[in-house]
Amino acid sequence: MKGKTWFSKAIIALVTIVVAGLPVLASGCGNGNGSTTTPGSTTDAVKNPIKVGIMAPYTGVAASKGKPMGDGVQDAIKYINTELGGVQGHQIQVVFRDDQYTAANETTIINEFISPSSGIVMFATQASAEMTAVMGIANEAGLPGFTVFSAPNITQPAKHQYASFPDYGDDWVAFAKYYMANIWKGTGKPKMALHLLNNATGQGAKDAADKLAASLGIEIVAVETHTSTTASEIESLTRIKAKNPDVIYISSTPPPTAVILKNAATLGMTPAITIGCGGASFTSEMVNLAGAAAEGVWGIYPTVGWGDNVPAMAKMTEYMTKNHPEDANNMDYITGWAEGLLIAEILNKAITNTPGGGNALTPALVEANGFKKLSGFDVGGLQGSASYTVGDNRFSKTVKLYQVKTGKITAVGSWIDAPFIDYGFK
Amino acid sequence: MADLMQFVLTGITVGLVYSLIALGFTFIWKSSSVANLALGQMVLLFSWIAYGTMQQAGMPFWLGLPVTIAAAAGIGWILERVILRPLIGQPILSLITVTLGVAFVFEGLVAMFWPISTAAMPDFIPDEPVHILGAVVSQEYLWAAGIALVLFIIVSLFFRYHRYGVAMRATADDQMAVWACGIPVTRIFSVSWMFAGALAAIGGVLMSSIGGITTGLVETGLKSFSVVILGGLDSFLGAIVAGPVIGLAENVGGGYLTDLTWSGVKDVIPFIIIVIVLFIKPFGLFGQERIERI
Repeated sequence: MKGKTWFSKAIIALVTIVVAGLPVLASGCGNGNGSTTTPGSTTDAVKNPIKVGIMAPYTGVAASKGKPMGDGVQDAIKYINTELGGVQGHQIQVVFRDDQYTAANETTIINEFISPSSGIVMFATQASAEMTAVMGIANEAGLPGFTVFSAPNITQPAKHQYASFPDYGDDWVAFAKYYMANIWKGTGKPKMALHLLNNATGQGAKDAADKLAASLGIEIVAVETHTSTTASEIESLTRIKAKNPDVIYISSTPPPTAVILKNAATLGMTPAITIGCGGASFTSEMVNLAGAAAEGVWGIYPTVGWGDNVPAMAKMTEYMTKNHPEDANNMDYITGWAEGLLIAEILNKAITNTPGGGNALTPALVEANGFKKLSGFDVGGLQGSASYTVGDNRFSKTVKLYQVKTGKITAVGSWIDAPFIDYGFK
Repeated sequence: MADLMQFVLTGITVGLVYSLIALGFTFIWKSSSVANLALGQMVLLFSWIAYGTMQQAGMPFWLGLPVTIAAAAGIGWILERVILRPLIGQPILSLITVTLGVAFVFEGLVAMFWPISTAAMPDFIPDEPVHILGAVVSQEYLWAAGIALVLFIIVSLFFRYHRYGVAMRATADDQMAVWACGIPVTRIFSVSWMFAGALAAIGGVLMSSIGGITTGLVETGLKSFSVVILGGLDSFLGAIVAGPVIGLAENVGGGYLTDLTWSGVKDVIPFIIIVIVLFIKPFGLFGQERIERI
């Protein structure tokens, strides 16, 4: 019996040593890229993977956007790693986290990302609300990052956080200018009501309206907010209706936008009242959920549409079809793919401009030699070309206008410039 | 006046939608004294099952809905049989905690089987709004409100007059005593979870017809907790009254106070009312008061 116990202990000890030793053996034999180091090569020749943190509301109340975006960015990185061999030979190692669109989760995740032991040199978020929740911590730690959908408070004043493209304030300005030039046929000032999600997504549009509505000749007659899980906005729309607006602008996410559109149709407000949406509202999901109520709705979006003739379209479509067919026709997948291309280009610039290359990268070097060296990168034609401009942390500076026609999101015209607006945030 | 009627009708109909979900919670509580924290996730899962039957499998509504309700009842039965039954006789906290675990499992199942995250429920309710006393109401809300009232009547009669209903009430009161009397507690539990599943399925289908199938349904399920707390945990009448009370507070309060205060005040008003009511009536408007000798 005693002998048996001793034998068991010996076996357990042996197994423990083997298991514990496996990572050591593995790190000694491989370079993390799935290939082995050739005998006699120096460690300088080993190209270490570069770690990037990505958070997305992959589940939760904003999953209608976060899920296709998360799919898009991960597919793009997969393409870069497998078909292009990574960035200058360095694999991009993604630390992907689902934050469920809650500030508590986002804070936990950013603390993981900024931890020196994580080895993460940059990070990305999908939504302005995510970045708003984490940017204080990230800025203090000096970890550079960018958000795909953005609000003015994120990039102003310019610190360590950036934006893929124009923010919700820019969306409002682009729509307002188009409305004044092409839709408004009345006399005097058109009356506009704002219906805003109760976070940075809505606040961004309000910031722009507060600053520029008067100079554009628009009178803001109502500002209403809603939650991301609203079941009815009849009450708020009834009050809006009493103010006789000519146009309603919605800056939200697809499900609440659909509720607002359906309720507006119920109250007979549409099609007499023009409705415009910011980029976060305006996706195929919104059209699916709102049905006929989405017809004729205008929207600003920062990317091209599916099927447009741009360089990245074929490969992106191939990956989407193969890996995430459920995201077909969802333009949020495009923003995610573009996000992946941007991450790769930032790292590419950082590797090129950093003595010691990819193995020497730190968050500070990635920002100085990557983020701030972006210049005229065309992002596969998916969005406006990306450049860093001192004081303006938005990479692309153009958006597009779309309208729902016979149930399809249809482009109206070409790229619209979104010049920098100084909000004076301190 | 027209605005007031609009706010009132909207409040009542939206409130009854909350009541519809709350009935499922009350059903479980009334029959087993278990607070089902997986309610929102049940609503979400059964909405997706409805989508699966009607949209993906192409069943017509008249067939898809019964299949969904049957599936929901089946899942309720499995839930009770596999997860909750081993805990009979255990502290009630164990049962409640398990429902929290079930909630996460259900969310995982949804993510696994329906990765699209958002979808529109096939149209089965006419789009044309109804005009009532100068107010306009979408038929989606009206149907949900009407079905909530019908279900309230059915479950109330069931609990009052049907032998299973009476047995459920007795079981909730004292499981061990009921068991000693020869009443099959395990079967009572099974039936109650099957009913709760069916109620959650009906609620989910109607809620999804309003705002689509989104994770927001979980939040709506959670909102129904406030209805249950206001009405009383063990009262169907409480659920059916408290829903419209909260709906009216949101819509009438929001309608008239927003301009005086801030946009978003409508989300706060119901909770202020709940706190005030619970100060006066700790067991809710219609909840059974329990006085324990200490």
